[in-house]
Amino acid sequence: MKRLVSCFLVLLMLVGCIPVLALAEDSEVTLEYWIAGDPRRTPAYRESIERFSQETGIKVNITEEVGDNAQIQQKLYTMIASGDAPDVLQVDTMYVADMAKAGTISSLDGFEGFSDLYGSVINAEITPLAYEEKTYGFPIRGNSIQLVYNKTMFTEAGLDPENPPQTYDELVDAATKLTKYDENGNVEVYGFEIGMTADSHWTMHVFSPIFWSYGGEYQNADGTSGFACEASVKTLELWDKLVNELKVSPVERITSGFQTGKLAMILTGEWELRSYREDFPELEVGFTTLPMPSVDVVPQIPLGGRACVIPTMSKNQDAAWKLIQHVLSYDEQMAYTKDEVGLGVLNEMIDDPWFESNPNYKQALSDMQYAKPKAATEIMQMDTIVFDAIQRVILMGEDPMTALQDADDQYNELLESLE
Amino acid sequence: MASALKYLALGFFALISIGPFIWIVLSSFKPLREIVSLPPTLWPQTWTVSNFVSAWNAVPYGRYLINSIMVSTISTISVVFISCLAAYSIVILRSRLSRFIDVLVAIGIIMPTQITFIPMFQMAKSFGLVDSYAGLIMPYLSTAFGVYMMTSFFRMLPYSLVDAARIDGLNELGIITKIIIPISRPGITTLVIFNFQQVWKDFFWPMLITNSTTLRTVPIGISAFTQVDSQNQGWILAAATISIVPLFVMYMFFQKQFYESTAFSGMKL
Amino acid sequence: MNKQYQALSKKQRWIGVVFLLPFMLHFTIFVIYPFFATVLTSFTNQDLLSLKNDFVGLKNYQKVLGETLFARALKNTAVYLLIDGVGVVIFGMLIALCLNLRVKGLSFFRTACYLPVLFDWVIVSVVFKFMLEPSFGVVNYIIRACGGTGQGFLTDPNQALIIVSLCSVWKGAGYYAVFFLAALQDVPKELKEAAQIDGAGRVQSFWKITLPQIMPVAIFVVLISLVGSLKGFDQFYIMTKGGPARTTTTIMYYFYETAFTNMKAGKGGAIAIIFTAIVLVFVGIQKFFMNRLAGSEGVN
Repeated sequence: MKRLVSCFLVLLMLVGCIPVLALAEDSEVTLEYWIAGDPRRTPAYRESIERFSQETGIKVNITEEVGDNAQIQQKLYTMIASGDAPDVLQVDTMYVADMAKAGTISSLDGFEGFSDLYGSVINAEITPLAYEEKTYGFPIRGNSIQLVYNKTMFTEAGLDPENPPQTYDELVDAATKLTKYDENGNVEVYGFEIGMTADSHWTMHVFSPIFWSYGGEYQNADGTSGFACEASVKTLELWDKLVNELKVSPVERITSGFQTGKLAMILTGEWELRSYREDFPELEVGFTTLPMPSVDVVPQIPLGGRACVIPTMSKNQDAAWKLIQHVLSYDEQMAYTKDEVGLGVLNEMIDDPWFESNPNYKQALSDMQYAKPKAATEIMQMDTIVFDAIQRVILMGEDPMTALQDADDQYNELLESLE
Repeated sequence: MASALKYLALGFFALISIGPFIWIVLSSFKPLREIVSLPPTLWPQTWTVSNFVSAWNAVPYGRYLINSIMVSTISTISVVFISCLAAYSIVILRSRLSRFIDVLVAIGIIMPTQITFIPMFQMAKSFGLVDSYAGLIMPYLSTAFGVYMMTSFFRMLPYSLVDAARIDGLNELGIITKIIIPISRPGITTLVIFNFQQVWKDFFWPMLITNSTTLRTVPIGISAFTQVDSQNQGWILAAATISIVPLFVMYMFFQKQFYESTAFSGMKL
Repeated sequence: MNKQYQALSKKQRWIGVVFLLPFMLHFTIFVIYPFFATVLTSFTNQDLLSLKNDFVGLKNYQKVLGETLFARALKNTAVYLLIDGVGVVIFGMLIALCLNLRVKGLSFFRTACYLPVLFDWVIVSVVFKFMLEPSFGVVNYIIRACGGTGQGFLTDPNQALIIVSLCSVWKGAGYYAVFFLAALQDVPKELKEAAQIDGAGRVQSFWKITLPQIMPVAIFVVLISLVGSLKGFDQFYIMTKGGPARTTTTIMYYFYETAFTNMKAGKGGAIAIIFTAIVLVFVGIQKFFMNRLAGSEGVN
């Protein structure tokens, strides 16, 4: 028993020593850089930062974020509230405006070489990172969503794999043709997937482009909630038709459903292409711009991706800026793109010969011109409020206008409470 | 007939409980295509370890396992020790604080841990414990539940033992280590198993307090796979298998005593 | 019970305080302090997003209590409590009764029944979501093969809460069975044999002999399981995110969403304090009834 006690005491002492040891280590400037902790992406990001350290001599300590988007933000906000923050970090693009508003991240306009860098980035990707005329972040990778379809299934269903649907009517038509049933009438293959997930984020990603294409906006010109309108009713009608009336789409997103041949067309982005190629090499992937109500409507596709920001608390702002310049340089951006860890964001990339042999990525890059930020005050709460309304209509058959009016009331109340 | 019924009942519960576990382990050896195929297969048609290789290479599991084992072990030893001391004080020494303690322990069990995160993080920050083992282990060192359990257990002990030990000239710490802890082994085993797995499975605090890969624990390794843009169920299942095996081994190790434990209903001596 | 042993000396009393110190110290720092910090926060409009932090009095409490979502969360919590809290006790007891039988291969069955407890919710969620997938999941596959119609399960607002509750029962019953089994093993055999000689059937002897004997443990388990269900959070965060259409938003989930996802620490604090008060009252009532039920033999 004595041994147990002494073991315990020794362990406690050891644990006590660890922070002291950690403190004794370094004194020179080390940048703290947070990256997305996605196992498929981290190696490329680490290599890129090694090149940075070699060039500049600045040491960088990389933290791989884990957890979902919300959890990562929670960690960040908790750290900031406790007076601690990394020097550079990648955050989901949609959080940048809120963070800028709170004054937790630095405006980048004053740094040397800002305007050059600004000019090199695809316009649609950099403008949403502004707040009150100042820019607070630079995109490190961008994405939008595309209509992704199985070419083999198109051929089998008598559709032209080189002529994917461009309008909603064609989409509904193709989805109906692509849906397959077994002898008992159960669905074997869904023609299309307009699926929800348990969290609001993805559902809003699917809702938004349709909503925008019918002329809707999250917030009206006077800042009030803009959901109880014809655009969202039309959106939900299309949704309802696909899921409940024609039953050509599952209610909820099916993980790996497209790869394994259970879905013929889905909405997703360039980030899945790598796993298709690696895990399902025989899959013939078609990749095209989202359909619109009619061919003459200019698409507006929700912007996704991550932006690099510098917290105001960072004591190494200049070194942090250098890191941002490095990760946005042409070579690094092309390296990320080629390693398939994220689509680069620079204008001149479109002329790179690599894209000629990778047409899907070229499509994704050229679609970035249509990217539109999911920007709104308190976007996360807005997301959950609208998500609730969508679920009530699609899953519980409620009247769209009633549910949307409810969402409007809640969002307006929230907006008022912020005043 | 009666015996067949017994097996039927036992088999029913066993099947329901163990089914998903078997499915996870077997499926982690299947290629992704087979995992999601319909009609589903139970026994892998093609065996592959590629899921394990990928999962193991993508995340430093070796390190995570060592960290998890360390954090769970140290905190469990501490919980047992602190709980025994406190329970002894409450039950045997009838400390004047014990009435007060009852209420505190009740609050401790009831209070949702989530509400403690922000103040705890700020505290860790002010002591410079962010991103350190000390900060990681700190909140787990004692639990109200442990004190509650050991208290309930000690209440069942025959007090004549304590009195006899005192007459033999043992001091109080000696009584705890030489008499109380050895005869309380079943109760302590139960606490060890419960506490170990609870700390093992905790996700939010390790995620909040650690930044370095070298400090992270197994649940973080799993979540790395469930959150990525392109999920791969094969990887998730392999990660799940990797994370469940150590717990399973620990459980098997203590299993015999675990079920002989008579933690809450008096001792047979 | 404590009367039979020697009076304590002054020194022993002093040692008693010293022995309590490690726990008290840790508990004060990690439970009491955060608790009071939360109480203070609940009177402010603290918002980690905008870094606001001003005193607003009881405004948060008024706001929370006036919300329909709070009322819905209360109702969802009550349903969950009813299915999960009661379910684990009943199934825990049944499993323990089975495991108390004398058959060959008992240690296998014991291990099997305890396995679900070892699982992380993340893993449980992956498995069950996979099996319950409405279009291609195994469960609906079997239902359809038997001629039934496929169910929505977690995507159906009418079923989601029940499904999550049942998953919790599945995961939790083995845990509580451990306590019941320990108690069952201590029921004196002579008592049972005597009852059987008197001609009591198995069921009768359970109600008349076994149950009264294990009552203190049963009370403990009921208390722990109900508090456990009230605090249940992981399952909702991981499996359903409070949906679909808010049907699985429990108080704990609502608190988390407010304080952590939306970063409204002040309002979240108010929810946490209201919730803690509810649980305390609930436990108080429960203890009162349980103590009457158990006479003076209660564990507490």
